[in-house]
Amino acid sequence: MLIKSLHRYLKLFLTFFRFSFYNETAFRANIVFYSISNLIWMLVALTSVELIFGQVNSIAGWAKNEVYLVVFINLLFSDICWTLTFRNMGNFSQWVRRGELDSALLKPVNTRFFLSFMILEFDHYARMAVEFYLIYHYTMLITGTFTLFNLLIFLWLLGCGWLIFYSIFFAITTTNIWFINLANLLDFFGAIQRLGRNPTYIYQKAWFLLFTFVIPAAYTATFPAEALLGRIQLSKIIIAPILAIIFLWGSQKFFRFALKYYSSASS
Amino acid sequence: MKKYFTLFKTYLQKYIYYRANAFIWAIFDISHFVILIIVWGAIYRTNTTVAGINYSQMVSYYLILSIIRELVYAAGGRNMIAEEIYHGQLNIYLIKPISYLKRVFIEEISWRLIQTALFFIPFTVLFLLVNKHVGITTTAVLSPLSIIALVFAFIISAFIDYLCALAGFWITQTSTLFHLKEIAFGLLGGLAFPTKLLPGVIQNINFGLPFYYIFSFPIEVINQQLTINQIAWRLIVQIIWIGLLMKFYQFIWRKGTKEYNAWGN
Repeated sequence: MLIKSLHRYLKLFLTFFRFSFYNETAFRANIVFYSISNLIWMLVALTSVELIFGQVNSIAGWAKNEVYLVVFINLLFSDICWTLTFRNMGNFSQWVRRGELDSALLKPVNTRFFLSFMILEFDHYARMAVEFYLIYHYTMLITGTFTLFNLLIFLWLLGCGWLIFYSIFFAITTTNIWFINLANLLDFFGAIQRLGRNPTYIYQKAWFLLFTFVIPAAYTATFPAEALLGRIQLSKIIIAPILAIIFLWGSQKFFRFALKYYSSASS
Repeated sequence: MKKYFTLFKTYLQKYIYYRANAFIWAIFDISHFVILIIVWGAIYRTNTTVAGINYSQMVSYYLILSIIRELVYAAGGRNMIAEEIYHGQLNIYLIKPISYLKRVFIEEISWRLIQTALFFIPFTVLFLLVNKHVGITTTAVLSPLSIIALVFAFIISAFIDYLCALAGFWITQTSTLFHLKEIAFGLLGGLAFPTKLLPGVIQNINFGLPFYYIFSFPIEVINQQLTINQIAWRLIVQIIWIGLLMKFYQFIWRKGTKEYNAWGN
């Protein structure tokens, strides 16, 4: 039953992928423009690091190359978010405002799945390729090794991090049901996931706990970077899926609660 | 003039209606600066000064920047002009007996006023938390020169934003231009970090560009880091940039409205 359901949703995801690809390639110049723009943003992030390290030698005990690694992983995390779900969450406000959410609710698929993955983006792949190379390059530069075991833990933590932040973003997006016009939420999401662009150890005491457990920004870059560098503690690997499940469950509960307050505008 | 005042009142009412949204945005905006202050706090744990700036000066920089951003960061180009051109809604305004530019300015100012008023709530909380690190005086903030610098900064910021939007007459997606604008504001305008951190050559070039005059210059006036002579010269540069950008806007607007097409409205 579960396998059949998974197979069905995988097929649906591939269909979304295909249609999104057709849509995006209808405006090929846009993909080129956005890809270049994304690469420029990466340069901006690197310039910021370069300017800061022009004045200091380390940030919270992390040297320049280590901070670069954190930045590349955080950018990769951002690209994964944009490629998979951000556009859909940006459109959610419009769905509610125009009363179009009804059509999603009536479809014979999981509403959340439909609302989260309907449109996929294609202009982040160029930057992701560069980021993968740079992550490998900087890991080699710092440690001299790049092991499959560390890579698997890295992917595990990044995956859990994505699930946690997807849940947080989805829960915030859901508030559109009450506020209706939160059209620029994507800028806010960008700001939240940028919390992880610096080693989380810059935050002290209560702030560190906040960005490890409440808004776990550490899982967007710092902990995955530690995994690649072979410095990760076992407790962080174990806590990751527990946090992911808690956030996913919480956001689903919140979504169901919010839907009770949804009133269509047109039907 | 009366019709523009009526417009102003109408837009003010519209944005007061969306006050909950504006307040949420105020929280979002302040959180960005809280993070920056924390990041710099970590850097200053092992350094007493960075590029000649101590922790106290850095905190006051971001504190002032947070409020200036609310006042002068224009977004009407992206949220209004670009959207209206893209969706063909510009027609409605072209046939009305009002200036399109003035109408956008008025709507922008209405939003900025509501947003800034609500921003003061989280700002006050942040100010009280970091108060021991800063030395901003209300006399400096409310000095006529800082108010003039801020007004000019808003006009420059608005024209740059509106010019990006006018590209929509020729290209369907203008977001790349807005990204480039944000990059310029971040790196050269001082929105990401003080422009003093830039290499000397770039700092000198930056004095000739408009971006420095949007955030960095008003902050320097408020922080009383410039002499009267320096302020006077930089105000003149602001006026020159306003003149140039306004002329360029008018030129592009004339060309663009000749190119403009819309269907079904």
